[in-house]
Amino acid sequence: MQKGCFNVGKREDIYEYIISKKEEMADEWLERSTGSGEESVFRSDEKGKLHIQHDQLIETVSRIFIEDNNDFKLHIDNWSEAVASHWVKSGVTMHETIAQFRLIRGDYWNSVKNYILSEKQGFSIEDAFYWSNIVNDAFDFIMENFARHFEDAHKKILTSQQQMITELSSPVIPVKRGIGILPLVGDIDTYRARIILETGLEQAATQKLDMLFIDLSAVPIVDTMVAHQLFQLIDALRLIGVEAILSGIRPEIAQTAVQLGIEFRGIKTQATLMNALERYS
Amino acid sequence: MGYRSSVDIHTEWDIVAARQLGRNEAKKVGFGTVDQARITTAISELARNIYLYAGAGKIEIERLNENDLFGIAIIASDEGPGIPDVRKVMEDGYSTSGGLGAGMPGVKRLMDDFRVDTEKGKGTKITAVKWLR
Amino acid sequence: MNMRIPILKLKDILIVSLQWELDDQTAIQFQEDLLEKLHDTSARGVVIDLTPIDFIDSFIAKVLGDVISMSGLMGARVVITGIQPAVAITLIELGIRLENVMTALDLENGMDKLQHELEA
Repeated sequence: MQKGCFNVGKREDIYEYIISKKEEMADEWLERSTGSGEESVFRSDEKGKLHIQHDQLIETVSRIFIEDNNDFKLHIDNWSEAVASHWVKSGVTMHETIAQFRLIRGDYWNSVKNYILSEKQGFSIEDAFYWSNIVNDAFDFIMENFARHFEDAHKKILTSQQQMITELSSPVIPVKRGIGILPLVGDIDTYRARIILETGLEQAATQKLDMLFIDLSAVPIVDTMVAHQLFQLIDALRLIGVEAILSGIRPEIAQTAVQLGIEFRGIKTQATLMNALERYS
Repeated sequence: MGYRSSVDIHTEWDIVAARQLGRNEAKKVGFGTVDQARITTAISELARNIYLYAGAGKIEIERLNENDLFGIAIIASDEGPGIPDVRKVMEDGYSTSGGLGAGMPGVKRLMDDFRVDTEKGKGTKITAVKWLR
Repeated sequence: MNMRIPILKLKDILIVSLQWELDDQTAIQFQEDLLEKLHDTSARGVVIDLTPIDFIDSFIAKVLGDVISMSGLMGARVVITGIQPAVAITLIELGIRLENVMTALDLENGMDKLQHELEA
């Protein structure tokens, strides 16, 4: 920290001044972010919540004038986490976030600048540069910290959507009494394989199947991992008295399987679902 | 350290008690039926190992909560002879008592994390964790 | 506490319905009882229903496997019915495939399968 000709008193003065401008800055920002202009990204019914968020931000940032640096960072981190989560859910995009911070930072720096200019006698050029650095460093930190929480919040939503899709995606379709079809679609990773194992088995038991035709024609890659998962499903089905028949073995799958040494010992297989149904049901 | 409960293993009946404790804890933490079966079976295997090879030991069950994840840890500990060759024991098909030999490799497959701490002559501690998805 | 598992007879088939969690002693006792009953009745088939069982570990699996082998030696075919999906998955993950064991979804299916086998 640079020793200047200012003392604790001046720091507190700036702090008090900025806080007194808090309401004005909030109104200014809210008008642009929830209004009808091109900087509007929020609905007007969110004004209340946003006002509180803005207040908290101004209060936390302004503490850089009177507080230790690390406390400021911790408080900002908490603020970012909560606010980022809300903004993501409101549908704000990353670049819109940056635009919002540009507005807020602009207004904030203007306030500080006004204070310095109005008290001209007390501030040197070095002081002005000093405060400029402090404020800009603070906002740089906030922006980066916020971006990280924004990404995390985004990822969380994607993951839960992903899970939902996976869980809905492997229905066992009853064909006639005691016979069902399980068409597998898309790539099968270990997570999806486990879901298929658990839900497929449950459905086969509920539907009281004797036979389940598992069709692979829409599965792009069948490697040793997928084969292993398939064998587990087939073995588990056998334990509950259901015979599994594989269909949809495309030429590429047949080639890869043999080349990889995957053996479908004891499991009935056919090239197409139609063949399989005709032959075995 | 989360909520922890335990069962001492001395008799075959203690294996039953350990299973029941595990099943209850798994239900409380919110695991579905399949995971409940996995956890109960894992406990049964570990408790039986203690009973057969160490004579006496303990099964502890701890509820876990790390960041956003919830789960259960099974800690099987004994002061038995220790496992001389962990790698061999972890190979499928290995069994010393003529049983099916499902043993440890099986427990590892049932759970998400699996760790063996053993010292010849001092004892063994196996920690197996299952996370709620 | 020594509960024995009831074994019923329907024509020449023995039916065992496991109603509660199997502890080690009960499992071994069951093995003995079944073999003795097979001997007494000369039954040709056995249906073992596991519907209420919510877990099977390697020990129980071995007892079941042994029962099946022993029954076979005494001239009887065995079918295991009612393995719950959760239990089936756990068995497979443990590495227990019960390969040469006849299985069926429930008691009714099991009886049918057994009749089929015995007539063949």
